[in-house]
Order: sequence, then C-alpha cells, then structure tokens
Amino acid sequence: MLNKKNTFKTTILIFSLITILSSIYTSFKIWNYGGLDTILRIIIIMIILLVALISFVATLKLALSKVKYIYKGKVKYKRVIKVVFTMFLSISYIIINLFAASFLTKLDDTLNDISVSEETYVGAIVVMEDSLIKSVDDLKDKKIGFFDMKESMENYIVPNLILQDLEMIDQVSLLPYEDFNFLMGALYDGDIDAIYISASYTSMFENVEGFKDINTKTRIIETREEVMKIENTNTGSVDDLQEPFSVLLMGVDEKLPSKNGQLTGNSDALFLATVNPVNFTVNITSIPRDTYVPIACYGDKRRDKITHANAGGTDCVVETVGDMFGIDIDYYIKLNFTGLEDLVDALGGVYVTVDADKYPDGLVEQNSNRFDEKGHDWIHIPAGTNKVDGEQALSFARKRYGLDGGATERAANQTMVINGIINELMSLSGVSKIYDVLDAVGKNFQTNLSAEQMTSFYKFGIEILQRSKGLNINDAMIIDYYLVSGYDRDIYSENSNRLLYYYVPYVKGIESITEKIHLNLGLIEYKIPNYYSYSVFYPYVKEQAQFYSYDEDEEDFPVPPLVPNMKGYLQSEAIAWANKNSIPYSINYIEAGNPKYVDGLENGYVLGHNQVVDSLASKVDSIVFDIIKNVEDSALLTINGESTITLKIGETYTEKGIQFKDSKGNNIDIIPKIKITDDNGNTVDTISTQSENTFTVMYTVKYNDKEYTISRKVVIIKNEVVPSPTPSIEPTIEPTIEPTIEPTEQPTSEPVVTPSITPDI
Amino acid sequence: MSKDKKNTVKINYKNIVILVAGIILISAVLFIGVKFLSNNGGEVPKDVIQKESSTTPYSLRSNATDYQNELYKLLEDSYKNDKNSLETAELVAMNFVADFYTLSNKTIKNDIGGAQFWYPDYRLNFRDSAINSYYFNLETMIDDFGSENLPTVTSVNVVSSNLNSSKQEYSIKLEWTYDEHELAGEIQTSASIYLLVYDTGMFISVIN
Repeated sequence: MLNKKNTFKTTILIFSLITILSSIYTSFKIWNYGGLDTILRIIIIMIILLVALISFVATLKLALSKVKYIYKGKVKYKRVIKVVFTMFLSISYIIINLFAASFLTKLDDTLNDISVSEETYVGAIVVMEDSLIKSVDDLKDKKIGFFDMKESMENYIVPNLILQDLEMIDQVSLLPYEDFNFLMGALYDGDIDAIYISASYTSMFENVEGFKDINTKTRIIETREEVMKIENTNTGSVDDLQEPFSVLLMGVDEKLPSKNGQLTGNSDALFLATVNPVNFTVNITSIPRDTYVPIACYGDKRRDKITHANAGGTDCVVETVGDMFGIDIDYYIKLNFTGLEDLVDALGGVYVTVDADKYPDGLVEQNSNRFDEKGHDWIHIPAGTNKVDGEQALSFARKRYGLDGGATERAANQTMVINGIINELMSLSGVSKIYDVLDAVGKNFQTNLSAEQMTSFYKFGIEILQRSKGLNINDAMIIDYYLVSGYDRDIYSENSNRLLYYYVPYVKGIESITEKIHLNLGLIEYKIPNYYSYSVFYPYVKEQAQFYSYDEDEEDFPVPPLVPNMKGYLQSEAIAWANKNSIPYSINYIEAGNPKYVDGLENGYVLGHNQVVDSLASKVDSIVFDIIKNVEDSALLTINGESTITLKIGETYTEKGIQFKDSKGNNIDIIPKIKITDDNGNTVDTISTQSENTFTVMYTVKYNDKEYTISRKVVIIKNEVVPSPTPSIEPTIEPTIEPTIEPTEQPTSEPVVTPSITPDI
Repeated sequence: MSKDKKNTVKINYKNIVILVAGIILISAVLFIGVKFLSNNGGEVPKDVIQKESSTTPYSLRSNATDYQNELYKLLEDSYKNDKNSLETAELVAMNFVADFYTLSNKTIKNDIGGAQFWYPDYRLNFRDSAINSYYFNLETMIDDFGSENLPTVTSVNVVSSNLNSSKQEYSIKLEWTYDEHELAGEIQTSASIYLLVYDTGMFISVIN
C-alpha cells in the first residue's frame, strides 16, 4: 500500500514538473520570437507560466492530500472526477505546450536557416571531358583561362585559391577573357587547357548555341568553397518593414549544393517585388534571364545578358536589377528550383492556365533530370486551368522552347506559378501543410532578411484582418504583375566570336514599369483620384504580366557574314557559300560504315562542317564539309583526257576512252555503249578528221540498275591557230551524285589510273 | 486548535493563488484582446458590415454618415411607393454617390462604397474596377491625411433625369459637394448614372 501510494505520488509530481518545464520551454521559445512586440511576448509568457503554476499547484495538492481517500476504499466519486479532470488538464496543457514549443522551434529554425549573414562561393577548375588533365597536379605548364573580372569570387578568386594553396600559380599561364562565351570557346577549341569558373557554370551555357553539350563535353577537376560575410546593409530591424521596401527574388538552378547547405548557382529567374505595407499593394516584375542590360560589376558597365551578372555574385545581380529601375534594392530571396517543386507539393499543388487555343494538347517539357545520363521524363501540363503538382509547376516555369511567345511567354508562365503559390499560401490551412511548407522553405530558401523581420510579417496580416472585418480579405491586398517587354535579337559578339541570343527591352517598357515601381515605393507622388467611370457592358479586365509592344525604334545590331549551320544544304550550296566568301574548302565524304553516316539521306546531303556555327566567316581559313555519299550511287564514270578535243583537218584522232570505278576507286570491268554523233545530230560510226565538224562521243554504262553517261566533244577545225583549250565541260552524268569537279582541294579519293576500257572506234 | 490552523492556512493559500491568478489572467486577456483588435494608426469603425435592409434590395452601411442615413430613409420610402419610379431611380443614384465618394468612413481599399446599388451579378467586377482605380491609394491617403480629413459627401443634387422607356433605362445627371477635406487638386463632383430596371428594382449599370 505504501509503495502504491508513493508510486502514485511520484507520478503526479513528475507530471507537475513536466508541466512546469514544458511551460518554461515554450516561454523561452516565445521570448526568442523576435517578430512579436516585447510587451505582447511578456504577457503571453506570463499567462503560460501562470496557467502552469495553477496546474502545478492543483496536481501537487492532489498528490499530497487526496490519495488517502482513494486508497481507503471509500472512493469518493467527486474526488475521482477531480483526479481525472486535473490529470486531463495537466496532460492537455503539457501536450499544448510541447506542440507550441515544437512549432515555434520549427519556425525559428527554418527562419534562422534561411536568413544568412554570409554567402558561400563555389569556384571550380574545368577541363574538356577528353582532356588528359585529370587533377590539379596535371596543370603544370598549362594555360588556364579566366573571365576578366578579378573581383569575382566564383570565377576568379576562389578557383585561384586552389592553385595558390598548392603553390602552383607560377607554374601555369593565366589568360584573361572578356567574355564568358569567348572563354568557353577557347577551351572547346583547345586554345587553353583549363578554365577558372563558377562551379554552376553549366546553367550559363546550356542554352547557348555551340555549348548545349556542355554537361557531357566538360568536367570539373577541382572545386573549392569559400564562405564570406555578406556586407549587409539590412539592419534587421522590424520597423524597416513598416515602410515600402523592395525584394529581389532569384531562382537558382543549384547543381552542386554547398557543404554548409547554402544555395549556390546562377540565378536563372529574376523577379523584383516592391511591397507597400501601408497601402497593401505589391508589384512583381518578371525579368527574363537573357535581358540585355548594363551589368553593374563590369568595369565598363557594358550590356550583357542579365544572368551574366552572376559573375559578380549576388550583389552584382541585385545592383544590376536596381540600376535597371533606378532603385536600391533592400533585400533578396534566393530560391532553389528544387525548392519550388517541394513548396508546390507541400501546398498541395497550384493552379496554372495553359492557353487551350494555342496549345490544345497542353505543354510538354523535360523534368529536372534533363541532363541526367540515366535519362529524363517528359512532363505534361494539360491545356486549360488545372492544379499541377511540383514537378509540373517547375517544368511549366522552365519551358522555353516550343512557346509561341518565347522568353516573354516563359516569364509570364513563371509569374503565373508565383501567383499560384501566393494564393495557396494565403489560404494555407492545416497544421501538417504548414510543417511541410516550412520544411520546403528551410532547405531551399535563402535571404538577407533577418528572422525577426520575417516573423513580423504577421503584423501585415493582422492589419488586413483588422481593417477588413466582415469583408472578403482576398482582394484587400493588390498584387500586380509586370513583364519586361522587349524583342528577340541575335547579336554578334566579337569577344566570343559567335551570334548570341539576347532579349532587348523596350526603353518605354522599362520606363513604364519604373514609374509603377517608384509609385509603389513612394518615391513619386501618387495621384489623388478625381474621376471614376464604369460600365457593366464593358467589364473590367485586369491585365497581369502582359507583353506590350511600344512605338519605338528597335535597336539595330548589324550582323557580319557568319558561318551558317549548313546541315541539310546540298553540296553545291555549301560549295557556293564557300566560293562566295572566298573560303577554301574540302569535302569529307561520309559513306555507310562511317559513324556519322545517316541512312535515308540523299547523296550530296551536307551533314555539317568543322567550323563554329555563327562564327565570323572572315575569320575562317578553310572549311571541311561532311557530305553524304551513298554507296550504290558512288560509281564514278570519268572520261580519260580532255572532255573537248580540238584537231586540225587531217590530224589523227585516238579516243582515250573512259574509266568506271566503284566507291573504293576499284575499276569496274564493264563494256559501255558508245554513240557518236556529228554536228547535225546524225549517228556516225567513226570520227572523221577530213572536214570541219563537231563530233560528240557519248558513253553509256549501266550498273546496278543505274545508267551513267559521259561524253566528249571532238572538234575538227581548219588548219588555223588552235584556239586555247576550252574549259572542261561538265560531264553529263545522270545519277544523283554531284559532279566531282572544280574542287579547290582534291577530295580524299584515289588518283586517276589508266583506263581498262578502250572504246572500239 | 492546530487542525483548525492548518485548514485555515490551506484555504487561504488556495484562494489567494486562484484570486491573484484570475485577476492577472482576466487583465491579460483584456489587454491582449484590445491590443490585437485595436488599430495602431487611425480610427477603426467597430463594424463595417453592411446592415441588411428588409424593405429594399439595397442596404445601408453600418457606419454610414448622417447624410447617407437621411438619403437611405428617403429611398426606402420611395421604393415602398414605387420601386421603379423616377424618384426612386434618382434616390438610388444619390445614395450611390453619397456612399462611393465618401472616403472618410472607409478603412481599406476593398470596402467599396455603393456596391449594393449594382446588380449582384456585376458587383464583383465593379468592386475589382474600383479597387484598382478610385480606391487604389485609400490606405496611403488615410496614412497621409487621416480618415477624418478625407472627403465626405454632404449633398447630392439631381441636375436632370429621364426615362428611356424602350430600354427600361433611367439616366440621372448629378452634382454633389463635399465637406472640407485635405485632398489637393480637384476631385469629382458630377457624374451621369444610368440605371436598369430589374424584377426586384433598379440597379446602376453605368457611371461616367
């Protein structure tokens, strides 16, 4: 009996202690919840501790005084209820505390994870996949190229540290390149042996003509991470968010996560958001990654694709976008694309709309494993408005090729996904969903907003709730989406010697968006409303993320003659191009058995050439064409000697005959049909040199169900000066082979041999 | 004696703890409730929900101005007499103007005045239009000038009105005045409003 009494007492005491401890823990978490006002935190903590105290006293009293009644056998009904009730409250209170504490811990940890005061830079040394350089040690006496921005952490400083640590700097030749494409081109061409570059370099090149195979053509031999404190102008003060502010949202395609879990990679998707917490208005501007703008960290501030601002790190991207719209951007948020997938799944999907008129079968795009050697899946996004999962949302946001509107439409689709996410977040319900969202956010978001600032966003929500009591709150906050409108241009880059795609923004488009941004940030005065009109017959339509054309002259970017992609050309067309540009050429015939051979292509089909497409034609010394030569058509009938012979009357004529060879140059023993005609078209048996005449000797050979003909002209003239030899006439070969004449360089065929066939003339 | 002393001590202890805890709890709850619900910057009307009216298909906002109350009473009387009369049409238009163009009793941009005078099918779109234009900067104006210094319509006059019986459409031309306010520049003081006749009464279809 005594033991049972003690056990019961101990149990009750333990519960009491747990109640107190859990309350203390919850109070501690609330105290650290910086987003709440201090006085509010104090009040909440006091309540928690007070309730804990009451619960503690009650259970203690229970432990000390009521036991004897229960164990006496005279079970007092009321006391049993009291015991059960007290225990129930105590346990419930413990559970509530633990739940609240765990939620706050989760929230706190997530916000602290994503709020960074330092940035991780990952630099690499890259070589061609087939290079003999396997490690850094093999770089001795080699040439290493780098992007000529020595302040760039990932593209110079960090990779350089790799060699510095090994004391190899003096053993290599470092060569600067003004342009990324020029740098990579030099590596591809073998002008240099290796390059310094960001470890996430592939996303910069995978859409550039000539480098689309970069994932398989190059490899990293060494990487290094450096963590640096961010020069943060953010004070971290919650009060800063009570006034209009701007945030740059950057979607990164992280291929190599850093060791400390921070996001690395180039920002491929850019959105500038300005928030006016006083007016409850937000505008979000989508900036296509290929937008042609001055780059803030380039010494000469020359224009380039905005995505290339990554060379100068996050700061450069932020400053470049800020310069575009004439503002200082206050904060940034980086989001890993994988995170987008996780976030959408955590929200249970988002709504997107695929124009059913333009794409009746919907859209199809590769999933995020598109460069995985193991293969990738195709993701289908149905036409119409549908709720899509994370993978679909990511594919929808990434899709570029096959869209009517190209880069602009892509940006509009990304905006649609963001809008979908915001809508789902605003209607977020269910604790499990909140936890999933926090999980997704924690792993894949990064920002220079402080944890306190992020938690203070609740005030925004409360303000809206307070003001809109009884009203629909969904339209209490206005979110406007804008798109940087521009036009597509292929601009020749002298530095990289290739034609590159750029998206050139309309000047008036930038001005228009700048005005809206400045209005929302309170940098310019808003207009007092002075007129309103509306008609039910012309319903209001709010256009979001619209592309606008502007009445302004589009910039002209003259393109010098470039080397075209000649795949599909005929041999004669390719030769004509070479001749037009005064470029010596040769032909590499591709026959069956050659790995490049493609069955079903016609004879003379140009597969390609050995020059870089869209490189400057004037810089080409010579060009080699790869041309299909089909075996069954490759027999060659040639005439021995001149195709036109001129003789004086009385001279003796000896017909030299023909040669007929197969594709390998072996003589084919075959008897041709010979027909001789005079200049009246009459068939004759011999060539007579007794009078002026012009004879045509035509040879016809049938081989493999094909007929080959070739002819020679024999001109008999009076005894006068023999005219200079007429240029060789094209033999009248009927098969579909292009004649093998007029090369400036001999093709790789066997030399002419003496005929085995002589005509019987 | 000692037993009594013990009991007395127990009772006092319990009562004191409960009493003190109760007082603190109630105070705290009241404090948090007031802080949570009170607005930091300006006045927040206790209730902005529309008062439902049983005699008309329209309604009066619960924080209507005196003038709005007055106009609405006239509308109710006119509607009772003849819901499709010219007088009723004029009063619908006047009520709309008094509500829509009075900004002093609005606290948030989606609290659009006069939405109840538009046919229900078109209300959402009308609200969308007003939120993104006339009411777009409401909160900023409240922040800059204070609600009490925003315009309040004090009188609305009908300049002309007529009925296009073939279209079952009324056209009403109105002018109105405001009390003193701090909005710089000219603000709207006249409009033409068109109303269509429906089964339940007249609703606005166009304002320009």
